[in-house]
Amino acid sequence: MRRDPWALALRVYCGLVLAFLSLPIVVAVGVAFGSDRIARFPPTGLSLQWFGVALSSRTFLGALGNSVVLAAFTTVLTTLLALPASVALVRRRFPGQHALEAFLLSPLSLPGVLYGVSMLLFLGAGGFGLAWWGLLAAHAVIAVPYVLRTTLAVYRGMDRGLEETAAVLGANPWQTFRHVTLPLLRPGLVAGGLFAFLTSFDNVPVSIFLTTARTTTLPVTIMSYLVNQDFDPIVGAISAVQVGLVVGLLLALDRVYGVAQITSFGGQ
Amino acid sequence: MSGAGASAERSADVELRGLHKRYGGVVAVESLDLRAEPGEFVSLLGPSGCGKTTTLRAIAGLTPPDGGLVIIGGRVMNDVPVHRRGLGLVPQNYALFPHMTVMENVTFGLRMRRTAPADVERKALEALGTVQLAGLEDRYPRQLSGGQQQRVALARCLVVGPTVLLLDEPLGALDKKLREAMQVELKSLQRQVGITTIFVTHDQEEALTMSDRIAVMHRGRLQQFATPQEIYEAPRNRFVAEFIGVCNFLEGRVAGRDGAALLVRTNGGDLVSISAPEGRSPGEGTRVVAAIRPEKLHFRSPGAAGTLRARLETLVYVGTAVHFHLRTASGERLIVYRQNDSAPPPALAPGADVQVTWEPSAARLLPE
Repeated sequence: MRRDPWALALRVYCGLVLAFLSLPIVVAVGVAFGSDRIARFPPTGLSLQWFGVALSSRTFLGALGNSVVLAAFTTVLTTLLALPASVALVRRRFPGQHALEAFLLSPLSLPGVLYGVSMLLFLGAGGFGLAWWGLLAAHAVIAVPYVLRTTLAVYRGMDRGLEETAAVLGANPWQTFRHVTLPLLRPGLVAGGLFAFLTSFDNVPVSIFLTTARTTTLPVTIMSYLVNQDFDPIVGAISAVQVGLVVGLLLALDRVYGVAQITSFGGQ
Repeated sequence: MSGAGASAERSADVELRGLHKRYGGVVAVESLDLRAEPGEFVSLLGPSGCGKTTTLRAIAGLTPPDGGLVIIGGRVMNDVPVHRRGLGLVPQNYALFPHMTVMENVTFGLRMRRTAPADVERKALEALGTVQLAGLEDRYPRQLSGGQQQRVALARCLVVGPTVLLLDEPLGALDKKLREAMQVELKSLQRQVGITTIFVTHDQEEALTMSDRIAVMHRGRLQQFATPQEIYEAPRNRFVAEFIGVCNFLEGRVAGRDGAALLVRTNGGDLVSISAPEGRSPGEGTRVVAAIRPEKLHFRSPGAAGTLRARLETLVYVGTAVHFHLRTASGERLIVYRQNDSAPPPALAPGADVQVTWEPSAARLLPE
């Protein structure tokens, strides 16, 4: 059987792209499993000692905990903001609607460093200091476009007749929202929430200006560790833990919703 | 069925008074007056953009009218929110909730009304039985065929005992065979339940076979509101005549009277009779237009009196009938349907000169 040369070329091309995307991660994670005192890839020997060092480091563990809590709160907060915004933007007509949508999505095109500095100045000028809620608010601002975009996409693809029929059948506006709109928006909310979590979880440019020694996040901690030390296997180990957490989260979501359903926005 | 029977007692009349709706500068519905009696099956028929769907949506409360009254069961509904109108709706695509099973779909209205769980189950099973879907309770809509989905949508409406059933082209998505089967089924179900039904369609055949009365609409205005038979036999104007079935139009001038019939000299010079409408007697020499259905035209042997001369241009064989396309001396096109009960005479070949005639009562005078 002759194989189509174009199909083969496409496979090779896709393979190269995947390799390009994943090799740096392979290196970072691979280093963590090495027995060398300095980071070396491929490692000369295998060992789990660096995980032991990393996971007994208060600095890294504390930062990891901060990051998880911050990302979780960011996810909840952005969902609470994006859901009503989607309802207003999709089902209502009001002046300035398009401007509002563009505004809510604008953090996507805002340079993170610029926003981080601005937020720092704002918190300073307001006399708030580096409060944790300031960090949370900043993360919510940069993550809200992700939830909003996926939710808007799902909502705009939803047949309006479903909500209308529910109303004719006797469902009041709240019941219609609760029993029809919300369940059908779920794929968009879950996908957007996942993006929001990841956006917060690995953010450096905004967090670096707004964290203190007590609230510092994992990426910021890794950054400053790398600035002060050489790239040693501890960083690789903590990165591997971070990658593991994210992959675990994805797998868990896949078990519950199916990643295919999330990424295709649940087209039934 | 007892659950369905209960709704029949509550079946209400629907009245529209001076209904008016515009979208921007476009008039969708203009001063529409319409009344459906309790238990009546009324079709809103017309081409797309005629305002039929807007009218239905105004009754449902989904599109607030700019003017006029929507009265259901004697109560003005204009300010009553959609969910308190107590209606049933089957939209074109059925709008089944994709995240709910058949059972959850059917019980939706009852659950929203906080009906006692024991009643919910019993009523839903009854409704599913009525539409012959027992046993499919746990399926999801996407696992059902188009016809089954339609029945679920119907059961979902009927189970809440609505006073009026609103159907927005519910058969449009089905293929021809299934559509015809569902027409019969839907009609008999409606009769059995006895519920007032407003049915939106652009399919004239569907409207003819199912309705007690048809409201023909065009450009937001009601053209004629009458029984299917009246609409077909006595169209009130050219639009209705053309939209419902196929119709021939013949122009000429009044040349006299022959008892109940009007004698008309056609543009081609033939003298034919048409039925004179009651209360209308156009004077001699007045220009008139008559409408004649193709199945009411008959071929006659040449030379017979009171016939129309024409040339046979093409024959179209459609199985149950043969359609003859003719052209009169003055250039008017005519279509004649001949039942395929015997082979057409060999004289009826393209290019032949033929003569057609009709019962005077079969030709209707149209207002010009």
